[in-house]
This record gives sequence, structure tokens and C-alpha cells, in this order.
Amino acid sequence: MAKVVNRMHPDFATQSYVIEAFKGVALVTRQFARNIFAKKDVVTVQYPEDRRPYTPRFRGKHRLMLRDDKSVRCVACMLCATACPANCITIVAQQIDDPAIEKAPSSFDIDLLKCIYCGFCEEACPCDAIRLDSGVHTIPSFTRRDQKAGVINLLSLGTASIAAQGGEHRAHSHEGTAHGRSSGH
Amino acid sequence: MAKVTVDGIEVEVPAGTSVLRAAKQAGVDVPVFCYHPGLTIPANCRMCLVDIEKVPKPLPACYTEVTDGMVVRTKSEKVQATQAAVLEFILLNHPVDCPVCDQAGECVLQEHYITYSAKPSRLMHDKVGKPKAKILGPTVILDAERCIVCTRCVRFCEEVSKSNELTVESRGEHSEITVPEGVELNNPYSLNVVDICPVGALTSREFRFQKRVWFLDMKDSVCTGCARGCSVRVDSHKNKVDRIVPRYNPDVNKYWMCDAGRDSLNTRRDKGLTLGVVPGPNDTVREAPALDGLRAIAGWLKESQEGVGIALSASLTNEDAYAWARLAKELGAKVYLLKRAGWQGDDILRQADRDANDAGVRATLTALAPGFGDAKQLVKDAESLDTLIVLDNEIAADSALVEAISDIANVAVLTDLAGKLSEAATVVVPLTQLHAREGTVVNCAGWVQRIAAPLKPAVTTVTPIAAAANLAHAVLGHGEHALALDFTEKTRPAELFDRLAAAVPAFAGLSYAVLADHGRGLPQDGVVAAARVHLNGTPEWEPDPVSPTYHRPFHLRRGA
Repeated sequence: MAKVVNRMHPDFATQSYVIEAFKGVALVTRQFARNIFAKKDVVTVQYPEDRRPYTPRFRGKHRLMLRDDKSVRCVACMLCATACPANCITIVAQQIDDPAIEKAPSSFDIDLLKCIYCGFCEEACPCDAIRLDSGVHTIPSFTRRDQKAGVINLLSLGTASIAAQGGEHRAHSHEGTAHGRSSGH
Repeated sequence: MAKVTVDGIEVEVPAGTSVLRAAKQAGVDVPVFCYHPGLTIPANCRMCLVDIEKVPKPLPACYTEVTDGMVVRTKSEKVQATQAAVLEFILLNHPVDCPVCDQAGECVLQEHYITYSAKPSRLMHDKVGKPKAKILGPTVILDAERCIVCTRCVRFCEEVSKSNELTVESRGEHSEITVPEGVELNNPYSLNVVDICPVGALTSREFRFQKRVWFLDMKDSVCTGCARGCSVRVDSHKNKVDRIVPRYNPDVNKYWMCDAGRDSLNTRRDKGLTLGVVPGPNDTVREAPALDGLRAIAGWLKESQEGVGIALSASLTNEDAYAWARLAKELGAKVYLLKRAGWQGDDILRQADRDANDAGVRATLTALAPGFGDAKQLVKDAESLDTLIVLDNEIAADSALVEAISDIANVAVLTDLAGKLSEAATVVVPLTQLHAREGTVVNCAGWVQRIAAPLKPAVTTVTPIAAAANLAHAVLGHGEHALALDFTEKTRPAELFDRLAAAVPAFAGLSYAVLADHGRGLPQDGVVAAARVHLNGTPEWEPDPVSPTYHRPFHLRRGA
């Protein structure tokens, strides 16, 4: 559909730019004076001493969340690795003695150079084990190896998660079901 | 014959056919849990209930026989309500721990729930708890909470392995698969119960937690553990074999395979040779890739004065035997056929003869290298030979053979596994490992099948065909002998099999293409058996309707 565009038709005074140039200088001078004396409406921050807060939805460095007993919430179901479009997650599963949980990662590696920070892994996770909400930018490094986040690295930012694990109807009496014990209660 | 109408489709089936199979013939899938075509029918899961006209209540399709003029509805409201109700009962105490369950992704309960129920549970009180991770035997582990008590495993142990280890304990929602006191699930076929378990109750201890099934790349192949040559599916990921499961083949192994067969294919994954041995300067030896070893062998062959012997394993594929038999003819070498050590056979599947392709290699050599010898002949002839090339595949190396071989001046062993013979050899050439080598094998009953190559070969290894072509090129040059050979290093077994079929009378009429899927029998009197399909195009065979052995539940990208 054709759309009418209203073009500007500036008058001669504007087109000559003499007055407009002075207007511009006045604006900058006013802001300069304000920055120095009034310290109000300052739009810049003194990076890196001052930093702007990230929005809560910012996706930064990954972290692995913990259960109340400080064990890692991940059960190595590989759903994050399945959802990952960059194939950057490598998990090796192991069997653990706790019959209520059974499975845990023996290693959990993320190749931060491959990761595109899409957040699919945290959406896919049924256990609220992996999150990208640490608010930490991935730090640059000098070697490729340093860009591999292992389980220790990922746990260092993790905290206890209050999310309940498992379905709605949890077995309260019998501790033997997978989601009976591992919930955050 | 009886005319049956299933969901408006009329089919004609023999009297006595079950409604389930009649529906299958009409192209209608009826959901099942407990029904397995290789076992008896208990009709205990009630998932296959269908609506039959003039019958007041739904009937189990697996157990009900058709009658003439029967009208079956599998998608009526009554059936749908019944299926949803059955699934609600089955799922009532199910732990729904799919994230840690090995069956997730190929679980029939998952698939049926999504297709036929997809409703939340209405359970208001606690689920019944049962043992988790209960070890039933050396190979199988039980999660009783996930079990839906379809009794497929119990029936397997009663009817197929006839070892009767498993039983059902208690009743109602407390019923539980278990082994009697002092008994463990330890029979040569125990891992089949894992394959037939429709849910994640029985899992393999070896495969447990190793891999989520949707990552697996599934290729149809053949077990080379014994002369039976069971049809198998090789599941691999990232160039590593993760598990071997049987594949339905009515002419060979039905639905089953033995644990030792899985083991024999599995254990090779870590023990394969990638580097061989060649003599270095000053009586030293060094590790070397295949081409270095072949160069050394070619040097011997050029200088050979007395005689050259080529010993072939009866476990080689037909194509390998063909290539080496042709090479032996051009070299004027004597050919020997060596066997693997046998094991205890049984009357279910296992054969005492452990060579996967005895019949095939024998037929090929009979046509191309008549008068070939065996191990005893090789021991006798050892003194007259100055060069011996052995294509090893776990050949039974008794002390007489090893001694005879160590007397020969130049011994080269081409193998994918280190063994007694490779220890006695001067040159060892690493062969491409088992799951990276294609070809065809003939089982003890004369059934020809294709071996697939799901893995990528190591670059330092060589296939037997390429090794034969390499030696021919190095030793015979471009002369008329070399031109007489109809293969090169790049010839695929598919091509070579067709030439083999033209050259060897036992294979006349067969082609690589017709061996797809289930293979074919060796031609009888020059006539190739017809494929096992009905005239209307449907296969005559009946795979397990809930087993994921014949279709891949998810199609995921390979790279993950």
C-alpha cells in the first residue's frame, strides 16, 4: 500500500544553519555546565568503576544450582545438551548411591567459545539446575582451554535453588521416588 | 478365510488370526504393552481393547480371534475412553522420572501417553513405593516403580531362555517383578528382557546412564560372534558403539540374541589396533601405520624364493576372502583357511562354531582357490614357506600353529585385535576395526546378510580389500597379473559382492541390493529365494509392535 511521506520543508533561516549552529553549541555548553556543577542527568557512567545494572533477563555466564544439601541439582538428563543449538554442552553421567536421585553428572563441560547464550539450556532443564542469570559477562582469556567451563567453575556461581523438583503428586511417605527427596523442601 | 472390517477398511485374513494382526494388515495400529509376537499372549495390559460390533464390552485385540463379518472399531469414543482409563491406571503409581530413565525417548509408555491420554494424574494420595535400582543379576538392573507388570520379561524367561528366573510377587498395585530368594537373572540371553521391556523398568547395567537414546545413530548390521549371524542393530554416537540390540529376522534369530554376542561386538571398541609393528633399523621394532607394514610385506613378496602362504580367517567377509583369493592366485600363493576356537553352543541361537562366515569363505575359496588347506596343512607346509600372510580374526592359535609360524622367515599378520599370532609375527598391519568395515557374511544355515559400518575407520588402518589391492599394485606393478584383478583400494564391498556373485557359483544370482534389510538365503539350484513379503506388498514378518528396534523414535541432528 502506498504511504504518504511528509517531507520536511525547512525555512531559509534553518537552511542557512547559522542560528542552528549556535543552538547546538548552547545545548552542549548547558549540558557541560550541568555535568560539572549540578551533577544531575549525567548519562555516562565511570566504567569500569561504575557499572550499569543488567536487566534481570540478561543471559550471562552459566551457573549450576544446588540442592539444600549442597549437591548439584543436575541429574544429567542431557536435555540441555539436546536443546543446545551450538552443541557446546558435554555431560558425562554417573550413578550415585542415593536411590532417590540415582543419576548425577561426573563432568559437566560448557565450551564458552561455542556457546551463543541463547538460554535454551535453562528452558529445557527440568530441575532448575542450569541458569544463565549470574549477571557475569564471560571473561576473556588468553587460551582456549580457559574458555571451557567445568563443573567446579559452574558451581562457583551457583546457589541453592528453591524450585521444587518433580511433578505435582510427589510421594511424601516413600522416600524412594526420584522427586520425593530431591525437591527443595 | 474371514472378512473383517477394521475402521471401515475391509481385509481378508485366515481364520484364527487375532484382531490385532488383522488391524495391522488393514494398516491400523492398535496400542499394546504386553503383547509380543515372539511370546505367548496373556492380554494383561488391556491397552489393546477395541470395540467389536455386537459385543457389549471392549475386547483385547491381541487375544480375540477374528470371525467372518466382524466389524472392529479402534478409534470410537468408547475405545478412546477405555484407552485413556487404562493409561491412567498404568500411570497411577508410575514415578514419572523420565529425566533419569534410560528408556526415555524410546519408551512406549511415553508415546502411548502422549497419543492416547495426555491427561494429568488425579491421584490425591501417595504413590506406592517399590525398590529402585534393584540388581537382578550380572547384566540387568530393575526399577520396580517404573514397571507396568506386562510380564514380557517373565514370559521370556519361561518360554525362550527356559531358565524361569523371573516371577511376579504380590498382587494389584503391589505386584512386582522379582527373582526368587537365592536366584539371580543370569542366563546367556538375559539382556533380551531389557530389549523387550516396554518401559524403563529393566535396564542394562552396562548401558545404564551411558547415553540418552535419541543421540544414537542406529545402523542395521550382523553379529559376528558365532556362525548364527544374528541380525542386530548397532547404536553408535560420536564414532563409538554404545550398544548392540537384536533386530527381527524370521530366518535367523527371530527377536533375540545372546549376551555373549553383544559382548563380542562391544569389547572390540576399546581393544582395536590402530598401529601395527614393522622391523626398524638394527633389529628394533617400531609402531607403524598400515601402509608401512604393507610396504614391508611387498618387499618380502618381491624377494620370495620358496613359497608364499596366505592364511585367511573364516570370520572374514565374502568380499575380503574374494579379494585375497584373487591376489593369492596372481601371486601363486598357497591358501589356508583358519578357524576361531569354538565355544559352547546351545539349541536356542548360539552355535559351537564361532566363525561368522565359515560357509561364505569356504564357498569363495572353493571357487577361486581350489585345494586350499586348513591349520593342520599349514603346520605341515610351514617348512616349505618363506613368507606367510595371515588375515587374523581371533584365530585359534594353538602352540603347534604358533611354533610352525615362528619357523617361517617372514610372517605378517593383518588384524584388528592383538593376539597370539600377531605377537609371533614380524610385521603387524592394523586392519580397520569391525564396525567400520562393510561386507557380507553367510551364516550356518546359508543365510547371506550385510554387515554395516556405522563407525569411521582410523586413518592408520586399512581394510582387507584395500590391503590386497595395495600389495597387488606394489608387487605385480601394472603387468597383466595386476590387470587381472578387478578391484582397487577404493572398491566398495557393494561393488565387489556383485563381481563375487558372478565368479562364485554358490552366490550366483544374488546382488548386494537384494540383501538389504533381512538378507537372502544362498541360491538353491541357481534359484534365489523370493523376498519374504506377501503379494500385497506387506511384509510377512511381524516385528515387535512396541520395540524401537525397527524405527527411530526421534530424528535428531547427528552432531549432538
